[in-house]
Amino acid sequence: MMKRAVNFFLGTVRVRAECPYPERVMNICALNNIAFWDYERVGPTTVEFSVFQTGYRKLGELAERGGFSIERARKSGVPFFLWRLRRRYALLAGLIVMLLAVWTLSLFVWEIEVSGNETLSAREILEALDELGVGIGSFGPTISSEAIANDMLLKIPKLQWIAVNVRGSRADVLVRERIDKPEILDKTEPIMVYAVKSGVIKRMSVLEGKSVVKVGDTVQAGDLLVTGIMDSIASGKRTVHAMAEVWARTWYDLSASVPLRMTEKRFTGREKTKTALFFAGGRVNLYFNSGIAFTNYDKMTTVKKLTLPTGNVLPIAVVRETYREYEPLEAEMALLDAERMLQKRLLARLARLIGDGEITSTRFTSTLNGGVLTVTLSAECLEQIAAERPFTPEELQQARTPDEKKAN
Amino acid sequence: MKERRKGIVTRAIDVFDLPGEVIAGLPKLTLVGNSRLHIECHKGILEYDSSLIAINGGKLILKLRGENLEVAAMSAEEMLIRGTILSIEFE
Repeated sequence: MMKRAVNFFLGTVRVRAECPYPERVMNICALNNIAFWDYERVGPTTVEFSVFQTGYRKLGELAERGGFSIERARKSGVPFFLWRLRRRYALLAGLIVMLLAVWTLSLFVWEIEVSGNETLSAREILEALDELGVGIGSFGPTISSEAIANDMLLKIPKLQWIAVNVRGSRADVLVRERIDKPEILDKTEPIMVYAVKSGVIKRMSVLEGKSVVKVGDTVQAGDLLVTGIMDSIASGKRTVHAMAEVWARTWYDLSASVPLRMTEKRFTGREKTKTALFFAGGRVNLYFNSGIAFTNYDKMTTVKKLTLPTGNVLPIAVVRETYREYEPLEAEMALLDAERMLQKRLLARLARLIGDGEITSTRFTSTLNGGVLTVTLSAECLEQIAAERPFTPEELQQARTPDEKKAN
Repeated sequence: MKERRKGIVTRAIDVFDLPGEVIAGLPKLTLVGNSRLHIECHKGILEYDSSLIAINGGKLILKLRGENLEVAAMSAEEMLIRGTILSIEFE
């Protein structure tokens, strides 16, 4: 099988040789390293055998000296087939055009892959690259990796390092992001601690500063909790960076409502799918009629990038848009379901409001008014209400004026 | 003189255990069953037919008789014959 394939690609010639002693032809072939096979005697002085094309040429040179004559009985294989096609210029031109097209297209960037980004999105990087002239369809050889990298670092300050490697029609963009400097706590800066929420203080732990409230006090949002102005023996007053954790009981009243009658979508089962190709930044529609006959419809778009079996992504994406027709249908929601849905929603909202805090008790009340269900959540929570702020100019002024009592 | 020399060569081959096909110009035959015959150090084909192949072995002439005999491969030194070999004669 393998031998036959090799013979087919190299091209074989069936030779008919005339010689008074046909065995002589065999010996001459063997002596001159001409491979032959299928040696067959067809007459008393005539034999036929197969040789490669190169062997046939060699044999032709030897025939006269060896005293025998040869002729080509048959020829087969790829070289002869191609030789027959040599005058078909259009075919040849097509081949050249195709090779040129493949070569030219491989010089353009068809795919950009960004890797190494953690907080920056690939889109941000791609957009910045696009502004610098590197995008899908840009000419590969003109992309100067170094210049692009320099410009990109200026454009996106969050980048620490970037490399743009263009390999054929694919550009790999490798990035490393700058690590933010950790925020250094300035312990000398005058800071006050105030309440961000109203509540009743349950426990306090003051790390620095002087507390102005005590456990059990009721505070309003914005009230001062711990002051950064401390008494000093030397100068009367000094400022510190007040730090404290203050946990307080807080109360919330949240409500949400929903109409029980609502329109629902009932899909009729009629669908229309449109397919388009995204190629080199452009869109090629594979349909003629772009109108949609449905009055109410949902549109679903799926984008699929074509890949080769080797895993290489092709610069072509198939976009499928499916339009599903539906009829608006009046439907009534069950009261219990609606209530449960609203309760869940309210609890989720509360959890967002209190952050790290915990919910100590909850109570729901529901009212139905004119087909609209309203659910109210009353909750008691325990949460950290202290936050830091710098001194106001007045506070600074106050801290600078020496204590009158002490001065006297 | 020639007879004597021949004797020396043959004796040297026996004494020194030398490869005979190289020193004395004798063909070396490797027969696989009765279907394949590998010949080294041949000097060409004298007669070729599907029932008889005569090979020049230098100092000997080999005659192979059989059925469907054919030369599967051949070079200046070696030769492979396939077919059903019935007898090998030396002349």
